[in-house]
Amino acid sequence: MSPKLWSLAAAATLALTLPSAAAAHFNSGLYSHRASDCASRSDPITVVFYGYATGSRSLNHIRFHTGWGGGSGGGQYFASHGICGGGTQHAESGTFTRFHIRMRKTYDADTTWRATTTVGTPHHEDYIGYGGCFHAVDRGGVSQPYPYNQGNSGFDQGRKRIFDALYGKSGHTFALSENWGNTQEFKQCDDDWAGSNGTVFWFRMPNSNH
Amino acid sequence: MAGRRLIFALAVALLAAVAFGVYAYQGRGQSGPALADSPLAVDFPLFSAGDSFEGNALTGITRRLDKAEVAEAATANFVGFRYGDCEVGEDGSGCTGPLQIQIWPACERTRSSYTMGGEPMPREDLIVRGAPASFFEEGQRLEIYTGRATIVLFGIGREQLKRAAHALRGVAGSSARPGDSLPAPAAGALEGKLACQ
Repeated sequence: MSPKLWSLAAAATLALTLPSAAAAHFNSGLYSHRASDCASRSDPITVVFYGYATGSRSLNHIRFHTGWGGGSGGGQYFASHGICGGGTQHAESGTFTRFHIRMRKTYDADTTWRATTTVGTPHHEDYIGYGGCFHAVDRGGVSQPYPYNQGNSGFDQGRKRIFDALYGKSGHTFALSENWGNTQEFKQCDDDWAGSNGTVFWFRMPNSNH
Repeated sequence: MAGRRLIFALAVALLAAVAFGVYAYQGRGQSGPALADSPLAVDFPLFSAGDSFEGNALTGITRRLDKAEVAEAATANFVGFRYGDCEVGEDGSGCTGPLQIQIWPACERTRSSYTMGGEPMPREDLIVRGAPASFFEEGQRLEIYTGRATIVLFGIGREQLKRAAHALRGVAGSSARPGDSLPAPAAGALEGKLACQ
C-alpha cells in the first residue's frame, strides 16, 4: 500500500473509531458510582442540563438560583460515551442537613438540540453525625406519615429543589420530564435505603454566566 | 446475630402486612374496612425470590406509595424486596446489595415508559418464563411484564438476573412457583394503555 493510500485508510479508520463530537448522541449512565470503574452505583441521576451546559456553567447557574455554595470536584464517578470520569462540580446548601448535587459533563456533546450536556444527582440528606455517618439521603417509604410520604425520598426532593430553582427562569427552558426507571435503592450510612422514582428533568443552560 | 434475626422478623411482618393488605383490598365490600385505603394495599400481584437467593437472605422490604408531583414523569408505587447487604463507602456514598426486586403496577410502569433525551431507551427484549421481558442498563436491570404487574429486578448481570427471574414465586395475587410460566401481560400493558383500577 502506498503511503498516500495508507494515510487515507488510517484517517478513515480513525474517523470511524474515535469519539466524534460532530456525530455524537446524548449518552449517560443512569447512576453515579463510588469508584473509578463505574461499576459501583451510588446515586441515581435525576437531572440533565443541556444547551451550553458545561460543568462550570451549570454550577454557576445552580449556585445563583439556589443560593448554594460549591465548587469543583465533589467525588463520585459518572459514565458516558464509554468513558468513566470523576465528578467535576458540586454544590450544597450547607454543612449539616442540606441539599447537595454532584455533576459531570458528558464526554461528548450532542448534535441535536441537546448540545452540551451535564448530568447531576441532586438529593436532600440528613446530617447524622455519629458512628462515622455524616450525611444520609432521606428514605422513601410508608414508614413516613400516612397516606403519603411527606416529601418523598431525598433523591426526589433534590430533583424537585432544582425544578423549583430553575423553572420559569429566563434561559432555563424546561424541555423534558422523562422516566429512566432508575429506581434502584441505595443503602445509606444510617441504614436507611433511598431511591429515585425514576423521573429525570431536563433544563437548559444559557450561553452566559451570572 | 440477634440484629439479623430482628431484621428478618420485621421483614416477615411487613411482608405479611403487605399480603394482608392485598387480601383486604381484593376482598373489600360495600361495608369493608378502611384497610382498602391502607398504604400497604396493592391491587397488583406480588412476587419475590423467597427467603433467600443464592445465599443472600431477604434483608428488607420496601413499600413506596408517593404523592404524585407536578411535572414528574413517574411516581413511586411499588413493593420492593432486597436480598443481601452492602458496605456504605467511607465517605458515606450509598451502596446496593446483589439483588433487588420491585413490583410495580403495570398501568404505571412498563416497557414503553422510558425515554432518554426524548428517544426510546436502549433495551434488549426477550422472553422470560413465557412472558415478555426486557434488559435495560446494560444488563443490570431486567423487567418482566406479566398480568397487571411489572417485575423489575436490579442485579449484577444478565445471567444472575435470569436465575433470579427463574426463582420468582407468587407472594400475593399469584400462585406461581419458581420456574412456572407467568401469565401474559394484561391487554394494553406493554403499550402503556392499561388503565389503573
